[in-house]
Amino acid sequence: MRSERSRAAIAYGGLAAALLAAFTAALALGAVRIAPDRAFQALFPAPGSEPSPIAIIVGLRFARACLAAAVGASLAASGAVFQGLFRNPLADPYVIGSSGGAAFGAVCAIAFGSGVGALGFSGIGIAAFAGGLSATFVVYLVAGATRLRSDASSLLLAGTALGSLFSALVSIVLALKDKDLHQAWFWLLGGFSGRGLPELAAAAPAMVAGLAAALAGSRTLDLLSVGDEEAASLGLRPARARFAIGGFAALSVSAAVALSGAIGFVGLVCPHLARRLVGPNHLRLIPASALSGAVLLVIADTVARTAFAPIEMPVGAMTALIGAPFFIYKIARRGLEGSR
Amino acid sequence: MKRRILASLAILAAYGAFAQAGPSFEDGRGATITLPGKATRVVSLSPAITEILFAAGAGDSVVGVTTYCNYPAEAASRAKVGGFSAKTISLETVLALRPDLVIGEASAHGQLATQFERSGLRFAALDLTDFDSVYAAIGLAGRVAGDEGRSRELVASIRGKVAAVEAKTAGIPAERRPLVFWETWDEPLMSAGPKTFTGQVIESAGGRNCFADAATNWPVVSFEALLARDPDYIMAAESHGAALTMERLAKRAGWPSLKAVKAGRVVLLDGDIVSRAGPRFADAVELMAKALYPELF
Repeated sequence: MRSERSRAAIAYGGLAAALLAAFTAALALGAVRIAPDRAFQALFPAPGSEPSPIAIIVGLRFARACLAAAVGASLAASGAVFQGLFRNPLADPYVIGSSGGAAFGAVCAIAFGSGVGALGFSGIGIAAFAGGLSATFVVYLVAGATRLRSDASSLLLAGTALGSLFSALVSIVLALKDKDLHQAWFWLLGGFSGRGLPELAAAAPAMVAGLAAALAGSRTLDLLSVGDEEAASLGLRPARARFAIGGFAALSVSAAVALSGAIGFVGLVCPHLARRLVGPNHLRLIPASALSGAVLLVIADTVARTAFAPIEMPVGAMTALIGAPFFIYKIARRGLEGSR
Repeated sequence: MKRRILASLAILAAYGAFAQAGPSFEDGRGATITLPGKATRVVSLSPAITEILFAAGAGDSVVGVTTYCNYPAEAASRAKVGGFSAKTISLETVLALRPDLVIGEASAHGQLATQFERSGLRFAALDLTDFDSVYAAIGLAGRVAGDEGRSRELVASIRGKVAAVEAKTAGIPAERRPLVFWETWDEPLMSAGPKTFTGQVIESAGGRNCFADAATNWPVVSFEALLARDPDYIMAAESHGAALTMERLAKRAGWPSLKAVKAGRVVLLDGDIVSRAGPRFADAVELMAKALYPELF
């Protein structure tokens, strides 16, 4: 027990250091070359002075690193929640339809006009948020109405089916409004271009609520991951717990997708990496997943901004490009230990 | 081989049958297209080609267009065969129109060639990549319409308009030409590369494209690169105008420190004429030049 605790402490320390390093790299690197010392100076401008372009650039990079960290943390924590809820190592934050719904909302906003936005989100962002949430709601209605409702797979199946339905609707809208294909395509690939701290502030309450609910439900998640019958015998109502915890996670994911588009891979892989570091106990696993998600996405966004500057690459592609080889190497070495 | 011989025989036979010989030309793929005479039923697969056909006097023979063909107004009354990209073109609608010629753009519709040819349709894929290719396409449309004089006049008048604009700005050295950022989209931030028609219109109007070094046509660019380049003007299509009001620009992080935003130099132009490789691009050059050099016009 003692050694497990110290192992977790070391893991958290390592992840925090990695996040700090990723942030430093994110501030120092970009399409414009800035010497590290000038970048550092720019962080602390003399009071009352006109902000220099460098200060603005460093400020922008900081905002983007915050966005990436928040989205990465939200996706990875929700990924850990869904993997636990469904006892399925392949579950990702999008299993209950959030990304499909958000994509449909965003594509409609791009194709048919989006207005100026609301609640701090852009027009596209608010459409994506609404789409993601309503998709989850529909999945709940469908799963709740079926006789399978106490089974984890009814949510999973309803989510998958609805995901396909939404991707069909997205293709139809894009075929009808195919002149907007470019914009929609890049939005769907995911990224942080054109978004800043105001949008993050808008999404933050939902993301924080999701994370808090996940932590509050971590004991329940531990019980559920043993099996529904065992959990029920310990006085838990599996279906109800699953709906509640999954609902908050979906809220957080919808906010993340509204911010950045559906960035893949982070939510699937980071929980597995975190599990190797701190073990399957959800109270430790969820924060560790969140931290590793933040690290991966901050690094991925930095690469996306700099690799082909001034052209930006889609962040979603970068997460997989960086994360997949690392993940495969880890599996090849020891297998998916403790993935359930 | 056999097919090629048959094809050559067919072409020879066509030549023989119509001694007065319709136009024969090579399209953007290098395929030779021979018409039995003046084209009377033409299907256009792109808004630019529709504009070219109408301007060259072939409007009466246009029987099919796309849902995006909105100019001239008359074009909208023709049958619709599909949307913007190749996948949305309905082969059976095209066939039902019994066209003697289908014209598309090589980049967008070249992939449809096999389908059209298998169905026995004559298909020309035109390169519409720069000003010269538009002149060539207008000339071709004139030949298809059987009225080469009109298309020659049209080309001369477009060339004249462009030359007049370029003459006014010819003496301005490159470094004193205003830097123009074309915003294609804001989320993600997208611009127009040097090979797009928009990019060429900017240069011809006496501006410098802020992202002339972009390798792709519609690059997603980082705002910090934009800030470092600090353009003199921000331009966009009118349809994107709602995202570029001073109020919205003020809310975008970092944007208020851009020269163009401080000076309120945001110019909206009709996107259909700026991005379309059609006969109206000279108007786009003129409008943009007027915005960049109000004192010269």
